Amino acid sequence: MRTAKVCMVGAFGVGKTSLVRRYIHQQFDESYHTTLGVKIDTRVVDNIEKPIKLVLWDMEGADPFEKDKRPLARIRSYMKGAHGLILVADGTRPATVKTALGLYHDFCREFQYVPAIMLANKADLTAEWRFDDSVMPDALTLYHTSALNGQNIDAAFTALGKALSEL
Amino acid sequence: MTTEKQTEEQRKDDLERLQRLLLGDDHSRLNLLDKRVSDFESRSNDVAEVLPDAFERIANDPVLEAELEKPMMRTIRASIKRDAPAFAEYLFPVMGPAIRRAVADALKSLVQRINVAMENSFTIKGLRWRLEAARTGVPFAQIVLRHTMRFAVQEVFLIARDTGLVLAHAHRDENLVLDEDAVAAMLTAIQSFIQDSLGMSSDDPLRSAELGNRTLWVINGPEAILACVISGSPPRALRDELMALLESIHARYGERFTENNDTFAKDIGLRVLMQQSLREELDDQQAVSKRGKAYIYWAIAISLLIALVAWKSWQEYQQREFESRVVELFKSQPGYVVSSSRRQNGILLIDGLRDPGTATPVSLLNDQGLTDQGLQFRFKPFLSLEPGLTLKNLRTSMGLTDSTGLALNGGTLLVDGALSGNQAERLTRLAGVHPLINAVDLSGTSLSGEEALQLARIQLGAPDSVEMTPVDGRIAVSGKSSVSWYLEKSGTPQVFGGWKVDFGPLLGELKNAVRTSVGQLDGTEVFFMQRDRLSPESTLTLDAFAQQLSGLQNASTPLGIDLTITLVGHVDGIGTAQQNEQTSRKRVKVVRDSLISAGVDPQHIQSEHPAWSSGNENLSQRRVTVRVTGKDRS
Repeated sequence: MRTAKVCMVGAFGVGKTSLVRRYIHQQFDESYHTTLGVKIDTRVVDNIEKPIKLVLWDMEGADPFEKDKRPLARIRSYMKGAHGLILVADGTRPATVKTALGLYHDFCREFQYVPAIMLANKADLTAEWRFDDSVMPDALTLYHTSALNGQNIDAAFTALGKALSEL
Repeated sequence: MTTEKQTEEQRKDDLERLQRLLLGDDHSRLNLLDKRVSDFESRSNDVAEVLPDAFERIANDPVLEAELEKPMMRTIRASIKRDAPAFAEYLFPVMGPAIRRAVADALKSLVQRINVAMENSFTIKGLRWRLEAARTGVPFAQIVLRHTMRFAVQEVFLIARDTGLVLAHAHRDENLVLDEDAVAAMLTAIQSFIQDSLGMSSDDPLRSAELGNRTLWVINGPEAILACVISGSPPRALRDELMALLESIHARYGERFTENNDTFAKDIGLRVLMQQSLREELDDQQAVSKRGKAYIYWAIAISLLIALVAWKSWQEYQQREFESRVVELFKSQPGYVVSSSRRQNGILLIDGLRDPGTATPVSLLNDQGLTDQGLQFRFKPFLSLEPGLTLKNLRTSMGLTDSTGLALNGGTLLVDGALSGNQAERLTRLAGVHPLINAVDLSGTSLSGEEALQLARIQLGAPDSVEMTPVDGRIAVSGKSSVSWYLEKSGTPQVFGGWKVDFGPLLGELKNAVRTSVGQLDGTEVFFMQRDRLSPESTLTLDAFAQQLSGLQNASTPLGIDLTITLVGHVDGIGTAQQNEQTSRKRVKVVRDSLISAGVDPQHIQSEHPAWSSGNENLSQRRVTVRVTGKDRS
């Protein structure tokens, strides 16, 4: 079975860790986030033709437009060698979409193109939903997700796993 | 055609001349080389000459070795496929020793682990390790081995440098908790974090980290890193070995690092190399010193155990001795019967019987210097027939003082010393009533005359017709009694409270009575009719007379009076002398037979036949006269 390194990035408070918690049996304590800035879990996607093991690097929140570039530099070093990306944004906060896309472009400039998906999270907050699907680049597959009710989470991870397994 | 041929030869010659002109001596060397290359035999010789050097070079060059391995493996596989039996035959001689060696190595390792585990199993450190084993779930032997190692590479990850993914993994401990991919990725993240935090470039990789007794060594290669978790203190040389190993892995498998599939991770060669990285070295000195200490601990523990067992045994022995002594004490004690003794909840229960006249169990124990602690008695009361205890009880119940002695001789209670009140009388009543007392001998006691008289009358069962009189320290018995009573009581000396019973006066009176009876019976006539036929009157009286005479004889003989009975036969004076004598004899015989049948002793019966006077017929003379005389035996 293949193994793929998948990095999950996004702004602070978009719900990355909640999404991971929803999808994965955790290997390490979440306090690693505050110490290392990353927490690593694994899960096998086996509901596809070529099952694949995802090693999921759940990054701390980062913003490429911030003055303090140290977190971004650390995330870049973590993202090195990633086979896939999961960009996470908060559907109620348009700024987080910008951050996620910024991180994506940053990665593409630094490394190479890899399969990536965008998770517009907190889709359960319909009243506050302000996500504009039209800003999505063609290379990104968009999923409206909710860590609260699990909406689209399995589908998103499965789709990424499938894309990675077919590389 | 000929012209063309000639032209061709001309051209060759020209070419050769030109070559000679241009190359000089080299031309001939070229020809030689051409010939050598074209010649198969010559070429084979040349290859054979360089082949050993070539193989040596391959052995020293991992890249060449890896390159050569592939075609060789293919060739070997094809050959085995083609002719497997032949290969089996070739391998057979080496397989046996190889298997034996493998088994021996495995056993050696096992024995080493067992030895180390045993040696450390009773030390304090061993106990600590045991706790660690319980806490971590790792087998105890493995924990011991881990601690007694100078070093041991516990786990090795071959990690792709850029992705942080695990390319291969080898470990000793089967109980891995975490996903190896997650661990490897985390290691990579930590390395990145450190580099990033300290502002170092990726060319300055993390080389080692220490946590507790574990060391993490990161051996960095161009494409992959070896992350080695090592317990103990690894020597510097180990790093070089691991580096060489990583280089070898790079050389052989570098191109396959990007394969990212199970096939690569399962490659036998890679797995062998990874296993080789799990080096270990036992700390012999520590193991030896542990062994020495362990022996001391064992010796101390065994000594303590022996001491404990000995102490417990001694306690048990003492307890048993005490219990045995107690049980024996009660068993040997008159008035005590021990039916059972058993220990229950640490207490010795003694069941049995106890005569109330005996001392209490506690006082008995105290007399022997024993305590009643741990003892419980359940004695039921009973009457003991132990002579000693019987006398003791008698003494108590009779109120006898120490001045009165009691003893049992056979069935006779011997009493001596002073008696008072009705003690003598009460004692005498025991005879025949008490199971142990048939008679009471009071001869050793001292009584007043009145007391002695009273006691004697009761003791002798004297009839009212008998008189007893204390005279001069003796009791004179007189009056009337049956001869049998006299004979019974006077047969043995009778003394009551120092007063001897004198039956002399009674004997005199009894003799007088016998003599009177003799006088009364003497001269009794038994009358006959014709010849020996008794008269009607005598028929009626003869038997009674015979009984009387017999009774008298029975009474007189023991009193010392011997009776003589003489039967005198008389006739009526008619007939011949012979006839009359016969008649006389017949009549005496009738009387004699009657007396004998009544019990009279025939030895004391005599007969007389006085002469008769013919012609003086007197029918009243048809009789037998019984003469009875008594004579005192001298």
